[in-house]
Amino acid sequence: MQTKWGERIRPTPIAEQAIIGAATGAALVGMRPVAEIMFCDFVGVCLDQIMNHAAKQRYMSGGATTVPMTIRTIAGGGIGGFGAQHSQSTEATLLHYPGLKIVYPSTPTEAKGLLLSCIFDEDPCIQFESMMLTYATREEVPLGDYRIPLGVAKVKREGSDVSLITYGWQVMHCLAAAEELAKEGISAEVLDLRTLMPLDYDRILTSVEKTGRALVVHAATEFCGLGAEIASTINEAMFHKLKAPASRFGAAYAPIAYSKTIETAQIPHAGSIAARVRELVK
Amino acid sequence: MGADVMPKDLDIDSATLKEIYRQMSRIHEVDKAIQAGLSSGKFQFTYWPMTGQEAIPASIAPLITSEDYMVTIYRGIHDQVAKGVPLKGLFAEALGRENGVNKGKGGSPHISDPASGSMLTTAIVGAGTPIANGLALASKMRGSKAVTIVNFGDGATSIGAVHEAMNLAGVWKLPVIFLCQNNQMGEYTTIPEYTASKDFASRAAGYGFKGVKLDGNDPVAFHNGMKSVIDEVRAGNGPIFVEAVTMRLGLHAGVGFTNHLSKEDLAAAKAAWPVPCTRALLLERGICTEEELAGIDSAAKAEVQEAVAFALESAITGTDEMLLDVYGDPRSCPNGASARSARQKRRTPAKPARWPCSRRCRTRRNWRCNSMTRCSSSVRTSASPPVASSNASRACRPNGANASARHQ
Repeated sequence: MQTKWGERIRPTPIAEQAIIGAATGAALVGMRPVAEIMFCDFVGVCLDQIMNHAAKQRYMSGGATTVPMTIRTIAGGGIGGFGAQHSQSTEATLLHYPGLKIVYPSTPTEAKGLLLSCIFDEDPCIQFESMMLTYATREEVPLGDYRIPLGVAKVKREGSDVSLITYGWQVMHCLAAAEELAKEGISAEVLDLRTLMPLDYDRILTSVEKTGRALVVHAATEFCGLGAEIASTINEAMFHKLKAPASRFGAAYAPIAYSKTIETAQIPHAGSIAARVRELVK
Repeated sequence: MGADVMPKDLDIDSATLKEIYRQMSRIHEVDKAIQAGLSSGKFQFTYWPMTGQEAIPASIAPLITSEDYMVTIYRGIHDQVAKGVPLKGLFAEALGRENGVNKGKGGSPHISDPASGSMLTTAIVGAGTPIANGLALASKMRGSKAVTIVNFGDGATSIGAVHEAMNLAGVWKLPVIFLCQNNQMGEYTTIPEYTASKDFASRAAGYGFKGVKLDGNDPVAFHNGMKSVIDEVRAGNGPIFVEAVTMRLGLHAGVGFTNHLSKEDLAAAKAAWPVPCTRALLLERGICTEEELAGIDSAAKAEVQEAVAFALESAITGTDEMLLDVYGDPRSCPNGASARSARQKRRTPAKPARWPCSRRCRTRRNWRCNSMTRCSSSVRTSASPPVASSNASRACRPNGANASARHQ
């Protein structure tokens, strides 16, 4: 890319604050930079630039300035062997900072479509890219200016008994769980959120209205995760229409272990998701 | 006297020095008005006074335009005034009013006024430096001749972001000036207490660019020093670090003079205060008459009074602004219009929300019932985690009971 685009593609020092700060500053004056944070675990070393500056600048300036930048970052979990500092899911942390938009694609086509929408969006966007999906999936992506609008979830499998609301690499596990459940006569709908902020409550509630049951599944720690928030909203919004309380299923409350056996067990996977669904529809 | 007149033994033309003093007078009147407003209780906000540092931005002002970018910090009202932020909008902002430059949502520590080139004000020590690099990068890539000046205090030299930013600016040869206003005090800590470095300017060499140490209290020397710095950076020769040596006469935050100096040191610092010193210099060298200086001061005072009156008349920013400017489209907020209306649309209005009753909620799956009685052994009890067997696993209870079971 550097050969083709020259100085528009810039090698940087290993200095995430400098990288995010430079992107923020350039965006303030109308550039549309894409900054890369190699692993999403590293947001810790540049969180001030993200949460205190990029996220808040539009608000603090009363709309006088904006930060139309995009951060791409890899979530390394699900493969094993990376250790606790290259495997966690940090999206819930970032969802706590109003001003950021967050996308988490589950296919190469969606990764392209959402990335382009992020680049042309007027707000700071963060795209999580699953390393596991990068290795596990391969497809031709549309050429040219192909965009998927932010804030639009997509039903990846239709179903009538339970809605599995998920995103990122857990979409793959939910689809596998749905396949397994179908053999037992349980029809699971899989809704891929694709964008975590803004959140597509319309499609979430429409799906749950149809199925009457909901399980939000994510690789991030279950406690204080996005699943808890979505499940609460579903319970508040349609308490009397539910056949079971909306619930959430995320990773165990522990750092991601190096042991593949523990990592596999501590993060939801097809088998454990199917087991949770069986409890819900009993 | 005309602009081209160079007073004897003074390496600056009269008009420029007079203009520098005019800016200093404006800054001083703003400082006085804020301190008076806070003391009287008419104003209520946090103020980090810049008293004593007026000469720095005032001397730079004639060298830059609104096309040049500036980033500063919470102790940066002097920088804003000299950069050209309108005083009406500045006071209204500090007072949290609708007519503030940032609609009263940023406040005194977060002024942004792109029209004057004041791009961002941070209240996080040192955090403006990486962002200044981005402004400078945009100028460089666009082939503009604009320079970016990022202001920070001596205390910020200790923080990692400044190191990262200086390193990147050096390797990318960015048109950025790292302007360290060395006011001798990092909040409440003196320099020898927080660093073994002999000075700050010499650090720039470690990043491969020039560092200069200038007297920030001497408007003539500082203006001339900054002229060469700005010319060099504008020419595309990469960043320069400037250590502007000055003295913070005020407290870290609040009103009044610092209590961190001895009586003698404070007296000496006040004697070197650039506002009265520059005024005296103009008089002494015959550049201005007392009448002219009084005219400059009263014009500054009138401008400030008008701004304060304007700010106090403006309405306090109301809650209708709460969810605006979080995103470009307020509907992006999850607690905003979209989510609320979605919930309302789907909520059955006739039936009040009920708690599940004990009659049928033996297990959490069997939780729906028609009773209005609040459950004694509620869903929450039945759904609560089984007690973990060991202390070690008990500590991880947030993940819920069946966590261990679920994850098998």
